Amino acid sequence: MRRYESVWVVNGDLPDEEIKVTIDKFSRIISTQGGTLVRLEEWGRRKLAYRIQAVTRGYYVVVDYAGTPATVKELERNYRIDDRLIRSHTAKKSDKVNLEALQAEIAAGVQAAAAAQAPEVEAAERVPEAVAAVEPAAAVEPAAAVEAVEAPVAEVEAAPQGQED
Amino acid sequence: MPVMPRRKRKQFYVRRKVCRFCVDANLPIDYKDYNTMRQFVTERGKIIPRRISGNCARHQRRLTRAIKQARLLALIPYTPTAPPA
Repeated sequence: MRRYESVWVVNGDLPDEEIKVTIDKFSRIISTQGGTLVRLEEWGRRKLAYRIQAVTRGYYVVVDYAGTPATVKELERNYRIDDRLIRSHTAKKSDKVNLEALQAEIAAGVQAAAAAQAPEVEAAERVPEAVAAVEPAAAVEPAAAVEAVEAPVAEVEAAPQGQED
Repeated sequence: MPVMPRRKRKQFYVRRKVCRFCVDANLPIDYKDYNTMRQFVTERGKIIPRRISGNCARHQRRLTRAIKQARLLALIPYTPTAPPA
């Protein structure tokens, strides 16, 4: 087993679910091809430095995994097939993998993720009350804002026509 | 151009340039670290030569490679983006 790192640039104009499906698909390929996923880091949407196939945003994912050359070969074959992925990059990080250390690292990663999620869960529990209080006001405001934005536009559009006539 | 009278000894202040990656061994060359990569390209997106940046040959080679990888992933531009026509 070797240690690899891949960067996936998923088309950022796709809806979130579609991106999620894409990420899941490639993660699954790693595990079905005898690889072990160590860490999957999502950077999220980022503006691309230049347009690629008329796409301006990319959803960046950095994946750290262990696998065999066959794993990588299969992954890269799929990168080329799937056009939801606009760019990809794979680099070998090390030739040998200590499986025990790897397991420890995965466990540490899972723990860290759990720790990161725990405060979120607490916050989520507290939120409903707050939302209940805020919601009526929030529901009214966006509607008013939309009207306010639309109205001037309508005037601007109407005005030049009037002049031309 | 007029020929300048040649002085016996050219006196100019040379600041010793040092390779940033040698000075700080903790500073990794990573293509994903686009902010660092950006420091080693010009506004036009060209890789700054060793002669200017002061990097050592070894690190410049690695840096060049990393910059090119970052460009491919659209993390840093090949060239400044033209305003939309």
